[in-house]
Amino acid sequence: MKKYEKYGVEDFIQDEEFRSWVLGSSQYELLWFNFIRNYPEKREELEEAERWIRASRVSEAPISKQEIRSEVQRFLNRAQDGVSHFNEVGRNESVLIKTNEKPSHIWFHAAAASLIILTGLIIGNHYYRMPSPAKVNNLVETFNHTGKPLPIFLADSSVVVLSANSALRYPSRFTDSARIVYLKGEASFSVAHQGQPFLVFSGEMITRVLGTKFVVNAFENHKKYTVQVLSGKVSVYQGKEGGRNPDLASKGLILTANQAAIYERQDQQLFKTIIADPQALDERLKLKDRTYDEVPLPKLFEDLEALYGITILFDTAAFRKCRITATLSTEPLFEQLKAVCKTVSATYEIVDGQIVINGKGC
Amino acid sequence: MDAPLGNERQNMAQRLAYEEAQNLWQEYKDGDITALGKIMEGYYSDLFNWGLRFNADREMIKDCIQETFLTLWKKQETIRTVENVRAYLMVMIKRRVLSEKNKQQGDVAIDRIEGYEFLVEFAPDLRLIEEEHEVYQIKKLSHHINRLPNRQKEVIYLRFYQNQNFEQIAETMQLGRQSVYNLFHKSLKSLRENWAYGTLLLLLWWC
Repeated sequence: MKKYEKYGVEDFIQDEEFRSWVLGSSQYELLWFNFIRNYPEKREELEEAERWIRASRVSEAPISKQEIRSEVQRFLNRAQDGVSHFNEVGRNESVLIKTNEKPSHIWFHAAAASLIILTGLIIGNHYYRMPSPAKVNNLVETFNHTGKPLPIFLADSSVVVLSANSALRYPSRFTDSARIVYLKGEASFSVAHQGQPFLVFSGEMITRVLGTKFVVNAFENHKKYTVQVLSGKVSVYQGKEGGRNPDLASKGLILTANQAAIYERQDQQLFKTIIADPQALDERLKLKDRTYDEVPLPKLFEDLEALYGITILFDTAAFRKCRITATLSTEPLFEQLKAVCKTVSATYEIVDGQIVINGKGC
Repeated sequence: MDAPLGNERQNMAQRLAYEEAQNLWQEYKDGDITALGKIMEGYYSDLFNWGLRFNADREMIKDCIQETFLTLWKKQETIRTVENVRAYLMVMIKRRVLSEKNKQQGDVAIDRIEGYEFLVEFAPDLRLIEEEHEVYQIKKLSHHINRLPNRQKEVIYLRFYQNQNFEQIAETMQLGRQSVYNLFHKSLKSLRENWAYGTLLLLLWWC
């Protein structure tokens, strides 16, 4: 609690909580109501501060959020046209998107998918109902013709980087109950933390989060839909748009950073796997070289586990005697694993979002 | 009479927090255009409102903001670290609006630093105030603020409407901190002096 009882007129004027109360926000109603009751001697200063704030308003109708967003979009489009180094921008996103385009050996084959993703935070919310998309009005559609990833700023400050040949429909303003957007194609989302859930409808797949970073791939003419989690924690459930509440208890998967989910339509099975190019959980650690000199192999696996937040299963007893000398730096995780496994005649596979090392040891 | 303020509130974009803006500025310096876009979005409302203080043409102000940010993106590799992103942008916008205005009017001779007009009409926000005396007090204060000289109105506007502290006002107005302080206190003094016989003035203005 701030020391409001020591505030003077000037301090009240500069206090953002006081200002927003004066200007009509109900958020701090109770705070100031209680304050006046407890410190009646402050009433006069409070009133003078209020008078100043109210008297110095400016009458012009300010610019609307929609107008601001379209101006920001105009700027981004113009900057992209004229400046050649735009490709360098959003490096992380474009890496992830690219890996998704060519089917990688680690992806399970999957038909058109139907998934619902819920963040770990709301597990157990059995009363949740999917809002009907039909109720959303004033949708804006952006189709990305540019051949490059296109950033789009949403009204809630979430940022969507739309891949080429993809389209996003979104309301110019979000309603209070949920934030809903519609995607055809591929996009990476950085969702702003907020009370109401954020939903991406794409074909038969629904992704639901409260604030995290993830990539949805749902091209209409592709055989599979995927969701990759870049940061945060997400849960995936089987279910359909407009259908009944997902059965949260039985069919859910929990995904953490660097994991992904695929729904196989034919077998009606959800699979957990690892994204094609896992990123270090802490960017700063990623850049550090890690040097190993005659170190037991389990130690190296443990370091990789910690760095990428991915579980690595191996026979500790068998590999304890393997000593390894290596310097690992910024190579992709699977390159590092391949190199390490080669030196001890082992192989690795991905099972259920974990890495399993097979080998006889040393 | 104060109805237009009602809808505006929920429409107004959230002002970017200081720390966040400084971080985004660093990311923009490192070549991230989305960071610059976020800065633009977070301060747009402030910058737009600020630009209108020097020229009433909304479309012209929008264009000036566009050009300012395009310039920033072009200069991305050589841009310096700034102490206060918002104040820095406000200086840029003010300069561009005034120079565009001069171009349009062909008044090369006007001294842009001192000679510009600060276009502002302070309008009291009286929502949810029932007490008649309080309504009157606020209207009176607003009325007197509107009668202050240009530079003093600019300080009042920055201090109370944009909620800048003296440091930031000094940076925005490109003045020394002491000059800003003096201007501010001159305003307060003249407002307090007017307080006593403000009643008559206000009654005249009210009719």
